[in-house]
Amino acid sequence: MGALRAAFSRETEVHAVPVHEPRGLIGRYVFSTDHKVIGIQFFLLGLVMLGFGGLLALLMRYQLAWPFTKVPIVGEWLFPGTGGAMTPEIYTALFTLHGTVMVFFVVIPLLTGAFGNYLIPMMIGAPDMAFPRMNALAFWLLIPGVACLIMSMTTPGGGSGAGWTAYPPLTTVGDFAPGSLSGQSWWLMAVTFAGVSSLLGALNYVVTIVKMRAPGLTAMRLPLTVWGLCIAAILQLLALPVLTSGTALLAVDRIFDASLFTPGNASDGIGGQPLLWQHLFWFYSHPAVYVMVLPAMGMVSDILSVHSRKPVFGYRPMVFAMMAIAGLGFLVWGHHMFTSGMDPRLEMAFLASTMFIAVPSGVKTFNWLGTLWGARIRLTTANLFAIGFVAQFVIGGLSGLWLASTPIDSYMHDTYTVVAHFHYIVFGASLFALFGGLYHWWPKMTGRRMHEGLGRIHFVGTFVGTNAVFLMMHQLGLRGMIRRTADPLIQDAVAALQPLNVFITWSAVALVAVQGVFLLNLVYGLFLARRGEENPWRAATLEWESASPPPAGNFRRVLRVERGPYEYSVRPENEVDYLPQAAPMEAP
Amino acid sequence: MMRWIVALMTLALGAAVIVTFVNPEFTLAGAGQDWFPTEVGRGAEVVDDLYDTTNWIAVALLVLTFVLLSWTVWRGAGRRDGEGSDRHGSGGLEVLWTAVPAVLIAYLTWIQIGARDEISAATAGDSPLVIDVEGAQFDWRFRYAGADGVLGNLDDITEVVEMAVPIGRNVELRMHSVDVIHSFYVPDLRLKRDVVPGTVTPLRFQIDPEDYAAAGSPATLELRCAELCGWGHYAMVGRLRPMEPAAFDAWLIARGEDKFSNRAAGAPEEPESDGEFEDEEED
Repeated sequence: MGALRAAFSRETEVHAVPVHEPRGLIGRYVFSTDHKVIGIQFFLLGLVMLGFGGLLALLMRYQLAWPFTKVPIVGEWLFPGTGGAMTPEIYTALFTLHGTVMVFFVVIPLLTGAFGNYLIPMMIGAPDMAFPRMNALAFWLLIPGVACLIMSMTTPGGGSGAGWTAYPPLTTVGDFAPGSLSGQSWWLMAVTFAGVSSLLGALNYVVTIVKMRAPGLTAMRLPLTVWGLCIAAILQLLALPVLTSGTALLAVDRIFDASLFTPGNASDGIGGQPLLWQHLFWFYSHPAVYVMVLPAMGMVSDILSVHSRKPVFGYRPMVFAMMAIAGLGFLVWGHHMFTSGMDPRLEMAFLASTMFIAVPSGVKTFNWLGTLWGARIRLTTANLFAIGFVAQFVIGGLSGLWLASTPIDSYMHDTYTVVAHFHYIVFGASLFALFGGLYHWWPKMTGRRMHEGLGRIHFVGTFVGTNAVFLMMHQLGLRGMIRRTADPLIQDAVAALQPLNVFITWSAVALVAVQGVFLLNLVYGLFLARRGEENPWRAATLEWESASPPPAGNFRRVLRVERGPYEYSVRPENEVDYLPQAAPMEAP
Repeated sequence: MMRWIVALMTLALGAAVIVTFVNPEFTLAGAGQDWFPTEVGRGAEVVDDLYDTTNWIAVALLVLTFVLLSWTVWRGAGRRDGEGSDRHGSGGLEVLWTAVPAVLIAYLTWIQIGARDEISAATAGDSPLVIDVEGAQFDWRFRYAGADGVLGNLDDITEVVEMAVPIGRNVELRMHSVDVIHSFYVPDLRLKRDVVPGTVTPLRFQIDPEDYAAAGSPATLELRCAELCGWGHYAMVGRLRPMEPAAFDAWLIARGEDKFSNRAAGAPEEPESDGEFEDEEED
């Protein structure tokens, strides 16, 4: 404990990592150990996978609006065996792949891998990560992960059709599902690769943040982005080993018929326990939800503060709220299992812990509102996405109150209300923070700014589209429409609401189409925009002390940190309205 | 211009969410009724009441946050350089917006205890009708005790897909699965419980006579599998057929007599079991 306190409180010195410009195109851009290059590699992979996962979602939406009809344009090419229509097997494989891709290969790698890699050393004034080679390994482990995922779709029987939650015995006995043949094993491999990748990354982030901060950068002067990434990394360090051992055990069940999760006989109680997997899985996957949202919360706090020219309201409560969310996050996994038939006394405990996560979440929300209150707000694209995050985070948080209540959950569990709830968090919140972060740190990464006009169109389209897609899913779920159904028309009560499903599908088409504007803006921001200022947003944090884009080694001088990260709208007798964190350049 | 768009979009979203959450009587898509399905279970109204109570809190918070958000953005985007505040926080406000939500949440948690007790009390009592429910890819099978009143012997009465249940009598299901995890979900009863292989899961309910009549006495209630159970999950549907107790008893006796009269008339006695026996011998 003393060592921990010392690590956080003393003025750490920047370790002299030998910096040498890598030679050659491949050394510099492919097998680089530079955290910025690795971060950008994570970005590229994550954005490609985001597009892929989005297209999978479109196919699913088509099936839900017009079940078992010929899919236009791509149908005959994708599903030649059925004349271009989907089968239930294909649909189950689609949503399994969509969930797996979005959680393990998009949101987690983009938030922790891409932003974590790029921002942590820059924001703490360090030349690189503590373990640059391990960092590179973390990225390259994702490639076999993606390869395994692709393999799982091409094996006989098709891809896994057991959902991203992979509940046994559906996943352990080959006879029970077409995708439970080798496709499920490949799926397990893919998730394990992604898990080990995250684990290496998380270890790196924690060590880097603890040991390599610039002199004077105490814990309570860290930008909230770094706090969010650090707490998320600690969550991953504690929870990921559980998932990884779970997938290993599931593989043992599948390959050696070990019967850890597979009951031997239908009713005699001999053999494995299917609920054990659910406990192991959710012990990781619930904290994973916070891994997907804590860095987003941090980034949004930074963006709101910079673009609204106002210090983050209640910095310390913001930090403590994130810690509380993370701590409580370990005690709530059972709320995914309220209908599983576990002990009712456990239900009450998980109910209470889940409810109380609303308190620190509320503290964060009110502090964001406090940050905006009385501020001189610039409605830049980055800020717009951050504001959108706050609105949609509130919606996703409040619908969580229903699901925390066991009586209501026994009605809503596994319905579209749940689908709506978590998409408001992972899409409405996490992805909005991601877009905001991209617009905000783009000038840092490229030295150019994306087009603000295109950005505004992108924001308005995405904001309207997101809510058009996900808001009415609450209603479908209230009506009883179950998740993971290939055909909503089978439920009489839901069939009457089919126009809603059609509306959602058209909205999803529009939402995907609007991302074309974003692609256009990426092209503009990469090639067409003029190289601009070093610090276009006049931000105070350390990453802007470096050139844009930053050179290898990041900083040309040793930074000495003098104050907190959010000194905006101060009125000194000069032309700028903020005080940078680092002391001014010393005279030689 | 942009500040008007953002403020109005935010307000519109907040209003849309409130309309969505508070569950009014919409007429969209010809539904023409409450978004929730009808409610016929004894104690099931507790769920709907809890939903409404939760929404009072949710709506209050939605109004507060969305009005504040759109106002601060609209106002703040109209300020000029140098007009912004540099306030770092406020201890009093932090206490306020930690304590008030904590009290609300504590209240919300507290009322769950009473609600849970009320739901289990609604179907408490001895001698419920016991029905054995078996989930299998991809159908539901039901087994009633025959004339001897004992489950698990030859005079059991078996049904597939449709489960007849008496109105106004406690029913206890003993649910198990032959293959993967299924979930027994009847929206009109506000009930869902997983059917886990290797375990027998009990589940109690009662169709409330008054609620059932108020709901227009539907001939059948939808039964769904709610837990992903394989490619045919979407089609794993069944029905509950509520019957007046007297009619139900008569039906059960008649079903039992059918079974034995078939046998007495020399109907072939489960020929497939012979086949299984031969297979074993060959092994």
